[in-house]
Amino acid sequence: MVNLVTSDNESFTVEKAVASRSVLIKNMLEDVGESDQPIPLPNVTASVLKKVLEYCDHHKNEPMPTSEDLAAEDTRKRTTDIGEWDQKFIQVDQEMLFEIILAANYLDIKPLLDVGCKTVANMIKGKTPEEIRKLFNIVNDFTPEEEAQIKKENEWAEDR
Amino acid sequence: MASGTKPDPKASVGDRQYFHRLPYETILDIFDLITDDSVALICASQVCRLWRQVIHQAPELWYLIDLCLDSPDPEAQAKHWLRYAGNQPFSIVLRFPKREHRLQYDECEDEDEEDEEEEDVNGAGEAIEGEASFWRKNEVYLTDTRTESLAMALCQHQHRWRELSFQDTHYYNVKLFFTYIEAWGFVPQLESLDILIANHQEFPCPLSIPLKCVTGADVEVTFVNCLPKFKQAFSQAITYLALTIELDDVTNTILDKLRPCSNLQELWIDTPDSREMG
Repeated sequence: MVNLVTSDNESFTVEKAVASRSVLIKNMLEDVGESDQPIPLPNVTASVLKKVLEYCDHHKNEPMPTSEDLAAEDTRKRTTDIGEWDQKFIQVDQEMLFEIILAANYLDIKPLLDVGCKTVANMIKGKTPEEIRKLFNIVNDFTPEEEAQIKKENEWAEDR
Repeated sequence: MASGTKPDPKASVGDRQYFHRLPYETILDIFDLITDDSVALICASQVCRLWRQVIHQAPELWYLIDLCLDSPDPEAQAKHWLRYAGNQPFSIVLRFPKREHRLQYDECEDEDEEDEEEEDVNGAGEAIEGEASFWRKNEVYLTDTRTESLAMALCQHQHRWRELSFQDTHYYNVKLFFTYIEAWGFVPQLESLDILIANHQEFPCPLSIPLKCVTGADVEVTFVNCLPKFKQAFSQAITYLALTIELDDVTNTILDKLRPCSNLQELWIDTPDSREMG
């Protein structure tokens, strides 16, 4: 078993196979060898780690992506399709969604990072710039001159 | 706008702007997942300065030029994509409007009266024949002009083509496009070629492919409703070929055309009506 300690000082004891879905933790375990020492995760809170471990537990028996898989992904078309279980798993509020993405990035869990990125990509598709801003609470920081420039640049796309 | 430096995702961070807390690589990864939707990519580039900067400074996001010939200005769209694609190899998908299928009636009018009659039965009607004819001619003009201008814009960059795909088009438009192929058809980075001719011909159209690959190239090709003729330098690069036709008496013709493909590893011939090959 592996003991993980979050930024808000909560402790999680999980199977090694579950914790090792994170390349970061897997490498740490390999570096320190057999040890009872807890592994600190200063960038992850307990609520987020709980969710991440739920994902890792569900996928613990799947093969880890190899470097060849990752290289092949660069050259092929990527889809935004998400598996059924993953879709339900990622149905969380926006703050949690982005926290999961950040945690997956920090812990180096590529498949979870993919699920998060695909979810955000699907949220962007089919929306106007204004709808996207509203959805993600993004401020329109263009000056009127920049707005005019953008409109001019994209005249070809009008009346689509 | 573009400063030439890597954008700082935290530059415009707000309390609830969760998106802007993501690292640059992750933001790029998300945008990479919308590149198959040209409208989404354009809309994303108009959200805020950060998104615009990230999208415009990443040539890899502009690798897919997906053009519909009945969109307002496909040539301007192609030029917009080429502007941001840098020197990267890119893929082209050309989609033709459904109404363009009617091109065939202009061509077949004199030689196939039965088709003409069938068109009448299906709704053109004698009373509006004059009007229908007017629109057919204008449609021919529209697609021809757009195909020509697009070909001129895209063929200047043919050394960077990675994938070329014609979807549901009339073979005449493919032939027209190919007349603009430059410099002996040299496409050193091509990996796949798909030509899907709209299924309205009684006999698959013979289509000359004026492309030429480098030695050792590996190209996958798909043809629907046409019989391709290759230059030797192209045929030897083909490692996968899928051919869909609706005839059962052209086996020898096909085998003859494929004889130069000495490196062909896979061949699929699909006859949708399940008729036997000769």
